[in-house]
Amino acid sequence: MKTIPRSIGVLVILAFTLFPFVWMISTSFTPADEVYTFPPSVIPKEPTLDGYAGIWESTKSDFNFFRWAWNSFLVAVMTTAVSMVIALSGGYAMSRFSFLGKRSLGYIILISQVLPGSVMVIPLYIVLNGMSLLNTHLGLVLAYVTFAIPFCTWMIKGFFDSIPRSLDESGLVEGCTVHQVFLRIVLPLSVPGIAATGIFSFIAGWNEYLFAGVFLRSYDLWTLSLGISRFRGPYTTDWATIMAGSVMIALPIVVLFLVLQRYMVSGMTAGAVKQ
Amino acid sequence: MSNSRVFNRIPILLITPLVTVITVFLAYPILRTVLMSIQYWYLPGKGSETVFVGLENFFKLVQDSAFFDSLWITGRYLVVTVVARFALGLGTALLLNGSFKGRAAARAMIIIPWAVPEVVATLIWVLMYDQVFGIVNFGLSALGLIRENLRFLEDPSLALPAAMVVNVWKGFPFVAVMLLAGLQSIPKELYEAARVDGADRLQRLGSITLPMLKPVSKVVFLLLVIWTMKDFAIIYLLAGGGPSRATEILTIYVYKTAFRYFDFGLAAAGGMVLLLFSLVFTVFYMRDMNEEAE
Repeated sequence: MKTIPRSIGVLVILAFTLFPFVWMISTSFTPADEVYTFPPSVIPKEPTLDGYAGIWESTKSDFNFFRWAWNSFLVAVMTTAVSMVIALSGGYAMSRFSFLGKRSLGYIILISQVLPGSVMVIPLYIVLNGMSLLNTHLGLVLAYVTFAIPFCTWMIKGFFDSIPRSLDESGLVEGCTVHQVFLRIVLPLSVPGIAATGIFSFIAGWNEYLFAGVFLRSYDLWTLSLGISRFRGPYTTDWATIMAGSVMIALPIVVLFLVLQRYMVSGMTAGAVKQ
Repeated sequence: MSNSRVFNRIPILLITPLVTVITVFLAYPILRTVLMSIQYWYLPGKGSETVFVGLENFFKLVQDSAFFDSLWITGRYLVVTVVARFALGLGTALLLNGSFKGRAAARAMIIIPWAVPEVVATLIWVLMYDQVFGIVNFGLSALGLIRENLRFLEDPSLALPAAMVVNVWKGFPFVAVMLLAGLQSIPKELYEAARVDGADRLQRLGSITLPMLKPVSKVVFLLLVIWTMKDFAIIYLLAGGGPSRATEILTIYVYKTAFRYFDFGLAAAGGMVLLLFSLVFTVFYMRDMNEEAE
């Protein structure tokens, strides 16, 4: 009896949440000229794959969607790999050792999370310019890593903290080196948390727009987020193609989230909710 | 830790890469921005043309009416979207916390807007907001709420509310997921005891659920505020700060000053102001984190 109003509420919320995606998918199958008709219809009158064909055609132009996909993947993977290595060692130190300046380091890490990208992009532009790394993927990765490392370190420190220290100590008693304690006890136990953190940093890299737009000049270096936004023409816009591209950009991220939902949610809520 | 002194060199080795990156790519750029804010720094010129001008950039800033407009726009954007995301997120969490058919699926799908790239999310809304063929106009006129189609992104009085809707739509799932986790960590016995004592649903909500959600709510609230101050892509892609600067939040003001008018000194001064606001909330956030840790 109480579940019926609840179900209605849930349906309303889900409709609000998901309708834009329904619209995205529907438009991606709509012929280019039908997009401009009013009233619009959710199910295209003459569904086509023209939008997706438009994405395929883009490989022949400067606006090469698949090249951008590869760039996005490369940048996101490099960002994740570099940040995770540094964050694992830093997070372990923060979790298990005491050292001079540990408290300050914690503060700096938290502060780095609030620095607005639109402010940091200015000095980073100058720093990367000085290193001749503007308009390179390496430069972009360095900028991403700057923000990913503090985030990953903080998350991973949290996951390490949740592993009882008595396990470390019993390992040491049984003759493990510090190295072995990390590799055989702490690391395996925190795999889910580490995976969630890694996926977050991958998604952040994949989704990022502002830095890519400022640092990358050449079309062939662009990432997907940047590239798809430039598909909008000043006079006409091929919405079917843009929405087909959007489906292809969003799909891997949505699948990642849905498949790994449990880890992602525990990653999102770690630290803020006492389980 | 008892054995930390024995392995004194290990933590130093472990944090060296972390500290190096923070120093080179965070600390140095921030100091550089502070320095830039008291310099005449115009990009097309060479670095050697930079001159110290004291607080001149800040004077210029407070004389710029666009700067004050952007403060006011940022304030409205912040208050409305934070409150709306929180309220909607809380409602959603309460709904999803009950039992109903398809609960697992609903919980999974609710996160999708939060996960997709801002660019994709915004492009969808640009399409839906269109004056001529947009589905939003169609929906509103079908419901009889409007007589002629609205120009959501071209009308200065509508652009900011339109951006707020996108922000709320994309951001409330995060609140819902966090608060749902908070709800699930409330011990069931509390509700049992309240029921035995004869408390009705509203009383249980007011005396158990909401108080127990307070710690996680605080964190979520502060994160929302801090993130909204950094918000850039949604508004930039929807309307580029326009029309007639109606959606020019502080981040866009700073960005445009630097990369459209190339006045890096003024942009850095504006950035300092933005930074200062964010830091105020960070202090609250850190105090909260410390309380949790200790």
